[in-house]
Amino acid sequence: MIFNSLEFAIFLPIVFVIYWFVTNRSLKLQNLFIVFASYLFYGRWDWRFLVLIAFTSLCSWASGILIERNRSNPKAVNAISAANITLNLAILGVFKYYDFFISSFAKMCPAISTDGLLLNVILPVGISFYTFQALSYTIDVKREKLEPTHDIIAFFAYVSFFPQLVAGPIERATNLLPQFQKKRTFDTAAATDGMKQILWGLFKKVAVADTCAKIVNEVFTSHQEYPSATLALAAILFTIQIYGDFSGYSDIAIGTSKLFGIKLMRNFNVPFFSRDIAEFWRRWHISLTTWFRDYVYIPLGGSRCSRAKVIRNTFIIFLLSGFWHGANWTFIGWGAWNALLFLPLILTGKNRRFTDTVAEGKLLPNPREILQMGLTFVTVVLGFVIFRAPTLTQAGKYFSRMFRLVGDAESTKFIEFQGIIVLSIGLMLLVEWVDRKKEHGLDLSELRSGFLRMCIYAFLIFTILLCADSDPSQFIYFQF
Amino acid sequence: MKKFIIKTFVFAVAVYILLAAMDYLYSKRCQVSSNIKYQFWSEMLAGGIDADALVVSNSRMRLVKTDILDSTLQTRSYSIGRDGFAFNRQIHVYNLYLKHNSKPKIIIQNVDMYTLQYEVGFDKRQFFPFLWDPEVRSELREEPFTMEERFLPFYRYEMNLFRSGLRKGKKHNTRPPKGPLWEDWDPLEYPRTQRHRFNITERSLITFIDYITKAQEDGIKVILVHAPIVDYMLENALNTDGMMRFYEGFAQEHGIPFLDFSKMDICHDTTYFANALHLNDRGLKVFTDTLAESIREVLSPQEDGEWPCLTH
Repeated sequence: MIFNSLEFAIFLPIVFVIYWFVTNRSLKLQNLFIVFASYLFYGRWDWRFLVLIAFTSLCSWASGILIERNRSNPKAVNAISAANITLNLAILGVFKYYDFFISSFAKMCPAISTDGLLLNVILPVGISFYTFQALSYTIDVKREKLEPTHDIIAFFAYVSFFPQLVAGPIERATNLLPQFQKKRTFDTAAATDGMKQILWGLFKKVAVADTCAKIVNEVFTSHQEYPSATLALAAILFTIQIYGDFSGYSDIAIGTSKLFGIKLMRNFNVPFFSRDIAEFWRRWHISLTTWFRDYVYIPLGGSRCSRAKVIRNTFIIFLLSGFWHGANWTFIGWGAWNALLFLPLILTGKNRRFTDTVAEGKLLPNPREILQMGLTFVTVVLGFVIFRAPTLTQAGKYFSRMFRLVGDAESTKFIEFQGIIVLSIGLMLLVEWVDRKKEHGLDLSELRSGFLRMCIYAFLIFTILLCADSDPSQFIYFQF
Repeated sequence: MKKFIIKTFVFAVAVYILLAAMDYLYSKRCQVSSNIKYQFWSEMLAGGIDADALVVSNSRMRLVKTDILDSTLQTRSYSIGRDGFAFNRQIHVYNLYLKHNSKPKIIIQNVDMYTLQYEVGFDKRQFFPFLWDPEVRSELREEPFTMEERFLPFYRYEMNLFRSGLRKGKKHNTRPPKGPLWEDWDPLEYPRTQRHRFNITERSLITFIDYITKAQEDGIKVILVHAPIVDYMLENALNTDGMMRFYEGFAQEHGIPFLDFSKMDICHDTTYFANALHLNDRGLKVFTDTLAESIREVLSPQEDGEWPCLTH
């Protein structure tokens, strides 16, 4: 089931009503219903992989209990947590990376045939997201940052909570699990805000990302036939598409959770208004970057170690982030590109220059800030060409054609650029600029006129309906 | 919480009503826009065509020269042929025509290897501005429109075509129906290597028999016509003889004439065609001349009361 479908528009109110009016008398029953609804939500894609989620949940829950029982024996604690982490990573590895490693190895050693070695299994939607969520629980319990829960239903609800099950935000057990362990009360203000955030997320997904996707898909598929200017435009549009798609999903997930009295972490914080790449990474896919920071980067020593180790740690974290997205050298290439951009900042101690919001208290940024944001955006766009290309070779060819300044005379295809793309992107950027200090773009609390607010909401709904495709498109991050 | 639910519900209903009203107005505007397909439906649903001879067809006879039919047969003719419509879709056009116009005296029914296939996919966008019409909705109830297309305002319209719906079109020219003419020979379409097969779907056949029977009961004379086709298309088709035998047998069984133009001289000359399936303007003129003469001939039944089966 996807958020931008009629099916979800019917599913959500039904779950909402049952959750607050039927199961609200008992916390256990309410959590059990969340698990049921979440499994139904996921099962609409493929029922078979529910076994995988249940198995991951069960093992992680059991590992927490076993760690607690063996707390006095550090070796046993280490062994249990290592076993569970290995098991989770093994499942992820088999489904997501096994074929990649085998075929990459076979390419390096042509004498080896892949016949009969490849599994060719389909990638379970959201496996990287819920696996990382389950891992965070085991690690936090092991580090004694969190008491293990004995409530298996609450734990299952934590791993499978449907708004963020398939594409995050990757929640920490320390934030989400306690919310399933205490009684939730309905908060009208939060729920209303959640509805607005859902609307804003849908706008970004349907009106921005999906309209950009039509051009992006066409140009990236046959880039060798388009002029350089079109390739540059498609690269920019893909960057905006992936932002609209993923941050739109996150907004819908966070907004939906608010309807159920659950507060999820913020996943995007206006990343296009970043003044350097370090600031960009503090604002982009926050739940993943902080996950790697807390569970990989800092344990490795972070930036408080020798120069060589800082370089090593930076590369590890960015290459892992890239590899997390999928079994393809392009994602590793994308990670390496970002590591190279980030490294000078961290080595010169300038990686935390911009921790505030750009042009705070001002209407517009100054020329210096505009230049900084522009340069950061360009570097991000170049990285996303590597990310989007099917192979590194294709990415190379894309760059080659884009920078050779190929004109119309050498091109056989041209795109038909529609005004709606400019309008929807312009509207998104304008709203996010104005509301850059707020939790999401559609927080119009400062707008006094209720009628005007309603008109804005109606206009957004109109735009969403008009831009919606008869075959709703999947969110890009489902494949990760 | 009650307040939240009520406010959300009231807002949703208000927005729905507002957008539905806007959709209605936009749809009405589309009906008089420059879009050729919308114009056809607007014209037909407006009524007053009241043709004596009605051409029911897919794209192959859609552009038949109705002025030639008119002058030869001394009648008023009109084509309700639609591109890409097999009979399971042609029947919708015919039924809607009958709801708004008087019954014809003659139906010139195109038949070919595609007629009795049951086609699922079709260009449903041509109906979008008319889904407010209860008769259209009812007639198309089994067609694959999604729930969203039927009930969500504006959802069915494509953003990139939105502005074209607002462009007002020129006044209708009622006959012949407007549409793109196939003029440039397209040799790549349906290449010689592509082998077609004549298929009959039971569902389409039943509908076709019901339609013929009902027309006969209403006193309408039905004439089956196989329009010219480039020779290699039929030579390459897997069961051409079977198809012709089927239509001949069908015509005999129902006591209706079958005019087969698949062996006409022009079928061996691609200068009369725009592509392997469609005649160009020159070909249409030659074909319609012959068709009109043939119809005039068969409109007087033979002495034994049997309708002839003519091959040209």
